[in-house]
Amino acid sequence: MTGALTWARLSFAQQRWEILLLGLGVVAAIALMLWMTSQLLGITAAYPECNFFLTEDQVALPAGCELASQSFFSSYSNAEIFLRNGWLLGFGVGLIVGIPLVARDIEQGTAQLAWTLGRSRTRWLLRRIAFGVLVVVVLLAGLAVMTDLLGAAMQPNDDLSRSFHFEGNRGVIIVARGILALGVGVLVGAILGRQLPALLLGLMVTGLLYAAVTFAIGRWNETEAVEAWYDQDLGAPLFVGSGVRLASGERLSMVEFYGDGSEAFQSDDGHLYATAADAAAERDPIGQEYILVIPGERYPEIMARASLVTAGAGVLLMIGAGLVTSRRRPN
Amino acid sequence: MSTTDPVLETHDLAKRYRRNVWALQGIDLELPAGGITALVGPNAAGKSTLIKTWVGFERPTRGSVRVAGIDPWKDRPAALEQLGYVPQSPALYDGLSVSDHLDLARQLRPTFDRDYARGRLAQLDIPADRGGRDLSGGQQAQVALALALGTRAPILLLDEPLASLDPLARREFLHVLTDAVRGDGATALLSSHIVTDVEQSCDRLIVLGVGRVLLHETVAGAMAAHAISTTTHPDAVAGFGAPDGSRIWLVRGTGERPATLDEVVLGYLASGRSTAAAA
Repeated sequence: MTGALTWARLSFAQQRWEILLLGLGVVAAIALMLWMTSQLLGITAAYPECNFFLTEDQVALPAGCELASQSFFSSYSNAEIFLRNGWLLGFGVGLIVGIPLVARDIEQGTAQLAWTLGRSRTRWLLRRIAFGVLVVVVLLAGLAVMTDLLGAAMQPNDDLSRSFHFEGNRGVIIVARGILALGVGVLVGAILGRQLPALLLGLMVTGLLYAAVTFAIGRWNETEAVEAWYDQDLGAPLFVGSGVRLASGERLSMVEFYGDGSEAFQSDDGHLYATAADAAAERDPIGQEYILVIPGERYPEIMARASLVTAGAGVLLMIGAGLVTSRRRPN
Repeated sequence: MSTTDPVLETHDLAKRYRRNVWALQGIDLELPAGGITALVGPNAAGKSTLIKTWVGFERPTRGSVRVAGIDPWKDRPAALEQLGYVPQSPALYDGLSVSDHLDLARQLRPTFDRDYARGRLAQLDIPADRGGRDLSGGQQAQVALALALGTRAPILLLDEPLASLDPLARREFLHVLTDAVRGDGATALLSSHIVTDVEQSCDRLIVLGVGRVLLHETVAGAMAAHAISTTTHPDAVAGFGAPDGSRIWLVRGTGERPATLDEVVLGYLASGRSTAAAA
């Protein structure tokens, strides 16, 4: 335990400036979100009779709620901007912590010291990465919790633990993205051995990998999505795709159905008719548009899986960094 | 491994870098245990490359290297356990104090003798709480040496640690090195291009030029076996310019006067250069 603490102390000393800077940034972001959350919760608590999100059977806000609603949605807009973009911090923290783990030692010549004092570079790297992961998790866990709290304050009528509202912008996935970016940073830093070029390349690689991982997770989700109709009460499911089911039962994608110039008249419940008269009379539907969704109740499971895939990709990159580090020159 | 076995070996060692640049060619060396060996040669002679192949930083293009009988490319951990290494520029960690460096060394190598290294630094009045990068060049080199000595490794490889030091710091560094090596019975290989600095400290001499071993002998043997002639000589190793502008020849055998170690080295470097030019 003493050894681990000593290692943590020495590792912190080597990266103290970026860790302190990132820590300040994350604390500031958390403080800002906390303030936004308290504002939203304050308005909601002050006007319990006002439901700011109209339900289907409501046509207008109750009397006296207009001003409170304006105030709520003003705070909501600010919070939404923050929530929709704040998750980028996860990538930033991962990259900035990850890149110097190997690259700085190579750039400043200290790799020669570390790699000859220690018997195994892999062991050295493992301990460096363990510290990096610790920093990323500590910094981003607070952000993850705070984004969940802010999201809940923005959607007071929803149970966000069973809802895909703000999916990908809140919760543990932020930490997972930090791990992915950490992996990119360590690997790119180990390959290039220079911090600034590694940062620039790391940004590009992180973007590409994020797109690839998101695409893969999306395809995986598609295989588990269920068909739903527009008029179903879906809560806040994850929208995965859409299509048309013909009266014969055959399923076509939107492109397949409309791509050949087909024209259809749609009723409010998504049924499709060949003519406007049929649509008006709701007679002889030729099909119905449907959507593919993952129900909100599967949110914890789906997000846990997405987080594991994302963090797993980061771990694979770290293994790659280990292979590079064990073979490369120290300068 | 017996005590008479060489501790550092190379057999037909060759190292080629990109663009077909050969840093080392056909190096055969066997260094016995004990004492300090000077590895002398001009810049780009291949001194650092040779040391780095033993450390496991460079992979031989051809041939083999051994550290205490161990191939560092096949079993790097075992080879490193036998080695203490002082790099060319003693890069210390920016955010760490001298004391932190000793703690770090202990973390990286559990057998690292922190008290021994601390004691050596205390003798030199190097403050343990000072940041590594806040020390003078000489002090940084001493910290790097203390880190290598603290490993208590039987073999020390020092890659031009004197290059950036002033004469007084060089003298102190060599004093500490000699003291430690003699006291611990270790083997040290010290690369340098400053002959006068190593003359007093080293037992053996390797002259490396254009990637080849030009001379490998004990210092005493090299001095005894060579002389200077002011005229061409059938046993001349090579001719080169004397400080007064005249031309002198290093001869293997008897000449007009004994050769200094500096002249022995210069003679072999000149011979290496003319061989390379002829090739």
